[in-house]
Amino acid sequence: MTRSPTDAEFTEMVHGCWGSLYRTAYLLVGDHGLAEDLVQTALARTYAAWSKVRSVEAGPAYARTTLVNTASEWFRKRSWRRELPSEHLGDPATAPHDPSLRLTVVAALALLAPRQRAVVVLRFYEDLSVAETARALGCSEGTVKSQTFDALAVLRTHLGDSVVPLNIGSSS
Amino acid sequence: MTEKLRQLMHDEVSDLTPPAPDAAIVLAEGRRLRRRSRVTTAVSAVAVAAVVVTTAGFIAQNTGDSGAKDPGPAGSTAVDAAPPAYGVGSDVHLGEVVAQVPDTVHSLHYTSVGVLVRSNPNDGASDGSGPESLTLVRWDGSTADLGTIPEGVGPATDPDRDVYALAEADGDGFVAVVRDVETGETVAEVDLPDLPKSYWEVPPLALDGDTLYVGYRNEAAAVDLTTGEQSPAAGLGGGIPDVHGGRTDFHSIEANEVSVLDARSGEELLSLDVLGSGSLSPDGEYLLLLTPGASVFGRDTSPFEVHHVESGSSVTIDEPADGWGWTADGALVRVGRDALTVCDPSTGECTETPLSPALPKNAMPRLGGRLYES
Repeated sequence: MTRSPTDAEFTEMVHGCWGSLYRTAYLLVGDHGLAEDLVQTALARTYAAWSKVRSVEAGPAYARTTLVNTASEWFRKRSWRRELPSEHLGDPATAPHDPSLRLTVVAALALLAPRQRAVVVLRFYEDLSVAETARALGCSEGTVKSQTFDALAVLRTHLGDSVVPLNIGSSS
Repeated sequence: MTEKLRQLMHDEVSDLTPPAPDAAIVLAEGRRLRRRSRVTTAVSAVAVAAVVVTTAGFIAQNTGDSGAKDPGPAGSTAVDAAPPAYGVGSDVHLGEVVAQVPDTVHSLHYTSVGVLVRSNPNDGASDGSGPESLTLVRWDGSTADLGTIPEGVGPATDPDRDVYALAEADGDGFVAVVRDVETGETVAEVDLPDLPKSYWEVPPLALDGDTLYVGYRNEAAAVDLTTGEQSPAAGLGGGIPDVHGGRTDFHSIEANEVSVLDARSGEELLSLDVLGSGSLSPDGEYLLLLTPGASVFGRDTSPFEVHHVESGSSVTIDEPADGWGWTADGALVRVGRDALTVCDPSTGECTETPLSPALPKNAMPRLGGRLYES
């Protein structure tokens, strides 16, 4: 039968994929504490659903999918924005426009709505297709395309045309 | 066109120093989620109106769960859970589903698609039953007639596999025949070691993943179903092998000990200096420990312990110790005349649900996964 992993096996898997999952989580939620919570939750859910995972080797990929699904659940909650630390909720109107004071990508991502941020991270950090991103976030491909367009427009404003050229986003 | 954005994201997070993971917290939370899902789903499956009693056991040792970190805004995840399975007369209950099999239920064996039921016209008894009917009852209550098997040992199954295995004579020796549990068609045959056989006409088997364990007079062997490779099973003695997740339980009255061993190597994984006996969960993760306790009219009314094999932690379940079994995915279950009790072995939390209608007065329910005589 498919047995649960031993504690040692699961611990080894946690240590092996933690860093990668944490970086994705940080880009998705823009906060270190929430990123840690998100990764822990995704890994715990992975353990709980082990009959579907079936092997330690498949664990990290399952955990990554679970992480995205969990983040998507968080984003759907009306209280989500109140849970974000206020310093991460910037106002595009007050963001610097002097090119020499460009925001970091992480700071610029924090200016996006959660769903837009997720779309950008999944599409351009995780390299998922439009269809894969739609499945991961539980929305239509059309929504992914429109969210991508809107998100890139915001990022272009704060990161500049050299990072987000004008000719991308419209057909994404 | 987005290479720069992509590169910047990778560059920025590559400089991050993630906090050190705390795998113990993750494990504890994972176990909590799994147990909660199992207990909740198992109880809801019996479809009764009201939960009348909720009993919380107490933590006898630190299980590690108490330190679990709040998982954040996320809700619980959906996990497949197996309903309590038991047979009474010719009725097979799988949660709210009831199906009929021929004659009287003898034993119920967990598979991935449902319960394989052995029944006979000898009131479900083992000796003198004659050929026994074999019926698959799927989780949705539909059935498949798989014919009859000789009186003796039951089919070997694994809760995660859709096959069953039986030993058959083959010339001077024996083979294990592995069949599809939905159709009865043979999917594999493997030779069994030629060793002195035990009480039964054919060697009793246990199926655990791709490994068949074969019981003989004084010893046991492991046979790899994919390669046919045979090896000693040092953790097992003779007779009917009982293996769950590669583990077996062992008790010695002389040594005043109950232990859990690796079935192949014989390595001791858990040892308890106590007079009693044990029953492993289907995945081998937990050991139900039964010790002599208070008895009222022949029924043990004392609480009992469940031990987590790997960590050695335990919980005490404040319920009478008599008559417990396991659901296919590892919740403890007991069927009384008018109530069904399901307990979470990681927390000791129990939920009792009334049975409506109540079982007949002298009903002796047969629980899934348990051996009855042989």
